[in-house]
Amino acid sequence: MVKEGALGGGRSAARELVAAVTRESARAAGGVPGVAMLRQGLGEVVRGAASRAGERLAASGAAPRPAGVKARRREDPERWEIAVRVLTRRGHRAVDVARAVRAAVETAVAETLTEHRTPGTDRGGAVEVPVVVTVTVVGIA
Amino acid sequence: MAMNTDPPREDAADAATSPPADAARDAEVLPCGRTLTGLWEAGEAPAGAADAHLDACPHCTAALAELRLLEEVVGAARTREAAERQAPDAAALTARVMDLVRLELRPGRTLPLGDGEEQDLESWIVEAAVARTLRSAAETLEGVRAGSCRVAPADGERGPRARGPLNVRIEVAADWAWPLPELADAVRERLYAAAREEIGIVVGAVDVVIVDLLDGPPDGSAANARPGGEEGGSW
Repeated sequence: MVKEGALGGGRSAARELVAAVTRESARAAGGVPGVAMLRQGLGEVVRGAASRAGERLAASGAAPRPAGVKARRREDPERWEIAVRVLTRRGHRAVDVARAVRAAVETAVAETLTEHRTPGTDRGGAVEVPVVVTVTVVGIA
Repeated sequence: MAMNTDPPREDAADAATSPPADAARDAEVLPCGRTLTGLWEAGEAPAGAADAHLDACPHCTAALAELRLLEEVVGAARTREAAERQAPDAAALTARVMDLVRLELRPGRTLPLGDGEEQDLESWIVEAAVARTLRSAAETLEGVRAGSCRVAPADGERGPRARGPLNVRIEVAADWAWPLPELADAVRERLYAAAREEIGIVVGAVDVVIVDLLDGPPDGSAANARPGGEEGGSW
């Protein structure tokens, strides 16, 4: 866990990790055949959250959050929660697409976490933080 | 030239409908002595008719410019009114947009994706997406139009993350020549197939509610499209 003792540095590193996980999840999900697009919630659109969040993140040096993916690191128990909203294509069974998306995102997140793991913050080495990926099909195109 | 005061209200109505006995009575007079009415008429006159006074007089020129501006404003207002009378098109577009917004805001509950006994733990689909697919499936039947379609867990579980097989209730309107029991069976068959092949959900009971009978093609061609091809209401 990234401690707050490092002040701004620790917090921004945590934010950057979330951004990286989100980005890589979106990239993986978008590449699955049968995914028409990742779908933002209307609430986000109406509130302009995408642009505001993008501005905040851009100010901190990270890329804007891609639509359709929400990544969160939770404590107690420690885990990563990734929520993906997709629009699937007709001609592909929705459940198959959802499963493929989950698999792709799980892989991408595991790789991202491995890349970002800094020596010294590893907890016991062998213990991986569980990753829970939830896929919701919000429409069939 | 002396200016007369405004006539009393009762007389004003008469003045509007009949030619004034005294032009100065209801005509505003410009400092140069020309009446506004006269100015308007002069302004409206064909271009060929020269009016030396109008060309030279600053009062008349200014007043005429204002009259023209007034004319423009009134004309624009009339155009706007005409455009607004075409509002029904805009209203229809607005309604369509709001439908989409509502769909987005109320996609319905999330339903579990997954077939067989192993339902995926974390794959979900919104009710609206299922409903749309099932409605389209019903409408692949000749002479059938689908209406409201609701999908909910069979065990009546109210939680947002309920699992288990799903029950479907669909309303349809059909060509009057459809024998109703066969219609219900045909719709059910299409829905089960769509649930299995296009979505991947487990469907339990399918309630088909026939809400309307429609006038089909008079030559009975619709009847040939269904199994049995029976005609007449056997219901």
